[in-house]
Amino acid sequence: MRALSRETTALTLLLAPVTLFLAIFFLIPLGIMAVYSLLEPGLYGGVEWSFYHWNYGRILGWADGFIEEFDIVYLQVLGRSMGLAALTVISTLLICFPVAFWISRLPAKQKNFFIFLITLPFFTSMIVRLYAWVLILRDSGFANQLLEWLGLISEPLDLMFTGTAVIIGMVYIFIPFMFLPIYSSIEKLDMSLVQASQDLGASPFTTFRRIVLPSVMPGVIAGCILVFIPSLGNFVVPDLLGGARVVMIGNLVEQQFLYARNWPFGAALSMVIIAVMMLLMAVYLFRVVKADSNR
Amino acid sequence: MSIAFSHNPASDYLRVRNAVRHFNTPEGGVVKALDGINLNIGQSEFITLLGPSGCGKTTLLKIIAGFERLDSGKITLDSQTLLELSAHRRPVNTVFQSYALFPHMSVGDNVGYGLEVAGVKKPERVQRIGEALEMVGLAGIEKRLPSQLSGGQQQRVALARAIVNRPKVLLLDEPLSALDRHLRMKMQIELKNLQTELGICFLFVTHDQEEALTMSDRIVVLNGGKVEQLGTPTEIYHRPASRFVADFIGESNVFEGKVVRFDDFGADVQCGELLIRTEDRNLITGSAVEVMLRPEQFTLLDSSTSAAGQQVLTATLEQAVFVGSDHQLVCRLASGQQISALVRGHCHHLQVGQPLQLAYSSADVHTIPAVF
Amino acid sequence: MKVLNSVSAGCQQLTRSLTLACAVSAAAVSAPVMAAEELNLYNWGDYINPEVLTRFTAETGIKVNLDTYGSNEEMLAKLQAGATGYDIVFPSVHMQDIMSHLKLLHKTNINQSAGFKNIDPAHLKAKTDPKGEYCLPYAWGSVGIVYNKELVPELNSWNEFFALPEQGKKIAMLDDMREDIGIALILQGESVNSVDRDQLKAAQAFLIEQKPNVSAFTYDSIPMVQSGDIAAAQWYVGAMMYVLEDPEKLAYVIPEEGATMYQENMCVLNSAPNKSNAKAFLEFFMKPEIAALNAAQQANGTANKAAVSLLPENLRANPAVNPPAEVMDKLQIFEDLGKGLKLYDRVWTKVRTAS
Repeated sequence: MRALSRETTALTLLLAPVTLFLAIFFLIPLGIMAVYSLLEPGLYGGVEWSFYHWNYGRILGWADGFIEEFDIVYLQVLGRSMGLAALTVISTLLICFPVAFWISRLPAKQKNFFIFLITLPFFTSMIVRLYAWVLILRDSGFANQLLEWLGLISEPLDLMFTGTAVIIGMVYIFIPFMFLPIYSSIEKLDMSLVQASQDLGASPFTTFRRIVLPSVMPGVIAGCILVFIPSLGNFVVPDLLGGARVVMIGNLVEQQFLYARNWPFGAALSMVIIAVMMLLMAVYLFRVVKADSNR
Repeated sequence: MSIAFSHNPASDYLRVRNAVRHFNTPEGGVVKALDGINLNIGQSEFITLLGPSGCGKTTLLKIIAGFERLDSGKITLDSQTLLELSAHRRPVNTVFQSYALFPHMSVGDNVGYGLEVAGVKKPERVQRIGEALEMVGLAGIEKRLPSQLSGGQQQRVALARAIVNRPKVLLLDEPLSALDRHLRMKMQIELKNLQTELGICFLFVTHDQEEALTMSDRIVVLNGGKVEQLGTPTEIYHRPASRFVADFIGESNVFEGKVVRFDDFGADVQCGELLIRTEDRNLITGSAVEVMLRPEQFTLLDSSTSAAGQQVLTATLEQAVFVGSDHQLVCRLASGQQISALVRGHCHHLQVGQPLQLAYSSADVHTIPAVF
Repeated sequence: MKVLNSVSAGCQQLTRSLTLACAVSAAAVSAPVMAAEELNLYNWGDYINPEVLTRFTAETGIKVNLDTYGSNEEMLAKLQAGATGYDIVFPSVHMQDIMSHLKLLHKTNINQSAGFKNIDPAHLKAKTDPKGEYCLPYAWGSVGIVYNKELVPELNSWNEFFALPEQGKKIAMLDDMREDIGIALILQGESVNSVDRDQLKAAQAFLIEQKPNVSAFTYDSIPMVQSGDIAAAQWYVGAMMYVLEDPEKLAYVIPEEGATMYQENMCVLNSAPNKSNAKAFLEFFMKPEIAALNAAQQANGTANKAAVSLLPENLRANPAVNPPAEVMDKLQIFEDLGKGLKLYDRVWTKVRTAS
């Protein structure tokens, strides 16, 4: 009994830094946002300390009765952002999955080299890297020059400042986030399981579906979550590569905090993003728990 | 040694012809994993591939399973060429060293996996899973996960998963190496019984000579990608075809020498100062041979026993170790060579440094052509 | 707005957002360490001639520290979040009004200083500071059109600008709420500070109608105009710097319908630790040769009447940099909109999300 309470004390002490860290850098800011989202915007930014319910109503489309009319424009943006984020997830997954398999089969030296290449972009500022894409995607950029040289197009394609450019940029930025968890789960994959499956008569496709996929699934799901969440809230890529043409929910938040000087509404929009993500995580966790208890 | 001595007339069920497989090492060298292997194996034989690590035994198993390719050569099973079939189409199953149980599937699903992908309907599948598990002594654990089983149980599940498909050949890749000694010996007997019951060919890879001698109908001794000897355990033990086999299987005393005289009953071999008589009648004067005597083939002479009809060696006792019912004696000959003898009975009166008379029968003396 | 001498304007547009995120969450933001003789400037990026600072230090012995921001909003947010240590900030006129309402500005009585006679009273534009008791006009300029003469020989108006896409020529606008809505209002003959719902709805309709024709909404249009990817772009007078480098290819024009203008003023903060050094700097900057030194490098307008004659010929005589009075009359400056900002926010959101 004594040993137990001692263990509990030790555990508490060990967990204290983490708890403190989460509280200071996560819960408190989140709490501030939650409170702000229910206050009246200050005339010059900041908040007025009086309860104000229009922030959430406005997201759902209701007018505040003073200036606006009923309009679900914010929900549309949220929907479109989720679509773009989902497209980013699918694209990065389609690229990373086969590549991760291919790299995992290489000799150690080459393997390390490719891992290095994939993590290399982290050493440079994201803004600089996105500017490189501006040079590639603009009308006289490398992409159009290459396509013209190959004779595939005669007129430059409009790539820059389009949804395509935003997707390309997002995929580019988030590839490492998808690749690394998938790769680590493939690395952990026991090749003797694959051989066992073949040995028992399963075709390569069946082996992939029944043995490989379930084994690497945790990595795939981790990758999807790691890509979806920052994609949904991203505003840097649409700002740079989409101009005002592609608006994601993150851009709306940015606009509220800066140019519209409406912190509470920006906070409310952020809370909606967080709610969407928590909902998705909850669905995932629920499924995992259910799958575990089924065993 | 040649396969011409094969004892099994129906031994062309699994045929390996001139199998060659070389690997390039990262340092630029070449490892000859298989260097011209020939084997003929019968339909219901328990065959053990025995050899030190790197001898090619696992490579051969993987090639038969379809996980490795062959540089040249041919393998047929039941008159069907194996090499053209990809792994999942071959009528063989493997028990892996690591067991390779699918961690996300229950025991039942693991065992039934092969049946399921082969399209066997559920009622039959369930019945056959039950039978297979019963055969390995694990009836009724279908619902459990592999992680909930002990090492020995996992081993049996791996076995059940392989035999449930009724393969033509069951390949076993050192399946007992992870088990403790007691369990291993129990499993050796069970495996042999299972093989007899199923009547299918078991191809068992091990580096443990005791295991090989216990279970096998025949043993293939491999070294450096070549077959050193193929024979029954008795043949391998008592009539090793090479110095390598003699050294690798059991303990042996080997003397290098030259045939100095031969007659209708045998030959005399001069090994340094020692003259050893053998009943091997295939020797001619002047040929270099190695002479082998197993430690248990010596008897200890004392004043009360006579050496009538026996050859005698004189040696000095250096060490006596009690090994259960016997004593292992380490002695040194006048020539300086060390020999080992396993003798029955009381040896408490023996003292280190004391001269001993070791007797042996010339009929036990086995000769191996020396290779220079 | 007004990131004049930098092609990386868009870059700053982002850093401004990023730093804001930090500013909002972290209340205490570090500022330069204070010593006896120091001055801490908080300015737009690349918005002062470094030579001016060097000369100030040489003359007074006061060490100058420079920190930069990318937008008025970023600067305000940082100050609101509690950043201290800065002496002088460079808000746009409407931001000066806001800061004045928020009681962030120090009354310097700079208009009492001898050099103030050089300042053109027409540039005392802040409603909260009509006499120049608080801040000193710093620099100003128009927001017009920069175009590639190889693609468009001559361009004089917004109407011609918006007609270019019909001829297969690409145009770009700034990714800026006030500037873009401002153009739409100018084309209807309204004030760029209108908070009339119907006028703004018409502006919204105009922008949504034009949106498919506008190839890009960006701050980074100069390189694309240079390369010919874009024929013409709405941009700041700072484009003049590139025009002067390559006058055969590029041109900058203030459209005849009118345009917006910007002006930044130098203001001393109430929280300034070095108020006397700050006032010394304001007085130093009122010297015509110093104001001219800055304007020549920045290629923009100065409010210092005496400095204009000291400017190099190609700037002094340039109607884009120093427009004649009738053009000046057509330039409108942004004012703070108060609650009306919400209307603009909604219009801008609708424009951005329209397909």
